Amino acid sequence: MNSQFPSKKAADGRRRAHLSHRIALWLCLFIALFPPLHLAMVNGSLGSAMTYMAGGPAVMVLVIYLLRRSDDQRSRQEQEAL
Amino acid sequence: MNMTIAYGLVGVFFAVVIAVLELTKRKADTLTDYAVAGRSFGPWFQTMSFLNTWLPGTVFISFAGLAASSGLIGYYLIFYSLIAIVLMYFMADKVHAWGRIHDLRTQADFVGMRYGSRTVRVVAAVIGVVSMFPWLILGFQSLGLVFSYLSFGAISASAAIFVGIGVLAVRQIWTVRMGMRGIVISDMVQGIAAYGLGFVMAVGFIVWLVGQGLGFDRLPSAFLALPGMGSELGPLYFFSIVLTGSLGAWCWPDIFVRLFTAKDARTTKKSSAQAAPLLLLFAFAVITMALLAHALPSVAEAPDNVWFIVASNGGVVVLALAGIAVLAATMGNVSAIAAASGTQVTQDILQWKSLDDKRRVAHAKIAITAISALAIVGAVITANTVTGLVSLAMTSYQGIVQLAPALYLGLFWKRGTAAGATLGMLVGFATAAILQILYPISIGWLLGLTSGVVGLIANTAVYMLCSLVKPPSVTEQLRVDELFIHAYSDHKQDPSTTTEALSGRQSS
Repeated sequence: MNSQFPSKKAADGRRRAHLSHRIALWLCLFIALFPPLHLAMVNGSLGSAMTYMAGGPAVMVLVIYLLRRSDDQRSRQEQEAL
Repeated sequence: MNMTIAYGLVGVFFAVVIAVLELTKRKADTLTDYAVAGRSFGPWFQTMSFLNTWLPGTVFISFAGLAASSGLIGYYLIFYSLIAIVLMYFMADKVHAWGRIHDLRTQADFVGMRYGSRTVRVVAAVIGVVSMFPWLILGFQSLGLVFSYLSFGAISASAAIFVGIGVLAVRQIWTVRMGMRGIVISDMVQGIAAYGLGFVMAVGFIVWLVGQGLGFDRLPSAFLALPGMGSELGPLYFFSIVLTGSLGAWCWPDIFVRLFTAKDARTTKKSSAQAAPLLLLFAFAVITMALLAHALPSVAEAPDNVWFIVASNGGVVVLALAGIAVLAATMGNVSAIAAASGTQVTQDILQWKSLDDKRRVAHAKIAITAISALAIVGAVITANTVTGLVSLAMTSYQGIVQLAPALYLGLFWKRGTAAGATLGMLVGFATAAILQILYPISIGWLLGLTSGVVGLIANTAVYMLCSLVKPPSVTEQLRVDELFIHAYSDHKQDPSTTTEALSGRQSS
């Protein structure tokens, strides 16, 4: 494993990536699975209902996009470091 | 005349799919070629392949129908699908690396390898094949609605089901002949028709509905709420169906095998980033269209027909295009289920070790043909009694999700053992089955939890308890440690460099 991440910079990048992965995962799970949030947002008013039903998934899509972009950048940096 | 035009357009689309398959035909010499297309596809093929397997034709029928009859709850499809995509992203490294190193071809193969256990592999394969079968029959049946509408009353609803079964039966010839490569390539064509065309049409229908004065202001306030405290379904019902849907996603063998067809883990990650916005746009448009169409009297009477009822206002060509979208989505799903079932039967349940690869491919083709034939017989027998089958299919979802602890904890927790996985699956499956009989929809005294979620809780508890009380042997722990070390090395690796020999893994 060490041979793949020879520099301290790469190891730091990997730690940051782990952290961002965890934050991303928990954020998506929170939006999709947190029952009080569902019931608070979707309370019978059109504005809040559609904001949640469209906005929640849109945030999740954005999170996946950002995750992939940061992973790609890290991967390129590691390749350069090697 | 209308029927001729509509059936003719469907025929043209079908011919295009077959032509693409014939033009891209390549001989599969090994089971890896046949079952996972040689792990060779790029991100766009992976994206379409995932979508075409994940979103069957029933999205236009049952899911749209749910939104048309019950309102906002219909959007749950989007939430659980996106969580499934997030999971795809996080699973990509390990699944791809382990798949390549150990030449894994099915989901059961994967969990069997992780736990070094033939029992886990067979139990997972049996649960997978049994759970997928009702969905295969439903796939054959679901085209009945398409051909019924496109006949403009010229043929009966029963006869239309037989037309649908016939079309899919012919389509299966290419699934059997070409295996996963054919499925992935045709998924691209079918995906464009199902989700590209489907999205454009759904947006058009929304514009038309709003133009007719059927905007959001016409929706009853009950449509804009989810089941809460004091409701019949319970405040945890929405949570339960999203949780079951998202965790269950990768428990379906036909979906899971998509992770093996990518050329590397980065491809899988890229395809998840591409699939997410496409899925959101498509599903949001279809569900919103169905929601708005609720105010149409004919939709209120038959919510499952909402897609066709709205499309029929656009004339024969629009209706035919709507039918093509459903057909395209269904073809991809049926092919994927048949291929995954056939491969799991030969590869994981029967496990003929003495056969060479050519004969394994031949056996897989026979199994796919046999399973398709059985499903066709099942579809013909149950042609006029769909309700029981839908119920069985829903029940199978509560069952298949019981693979989740073994699958996900096996991926992310090194201490999970074969005994924990096997016992957990069996306890979870039994718990879910019993509760499903007693509480088919949700369990009121558990605030709306479903049988599948309670089964999952029992399953996870048993899995963790067994694994902690009786930890793996030192040899097994070493083998698992090494598996996890290789999880992020996405390189072609010599399998002899692993400790597979130590593991006592049941080779296929």
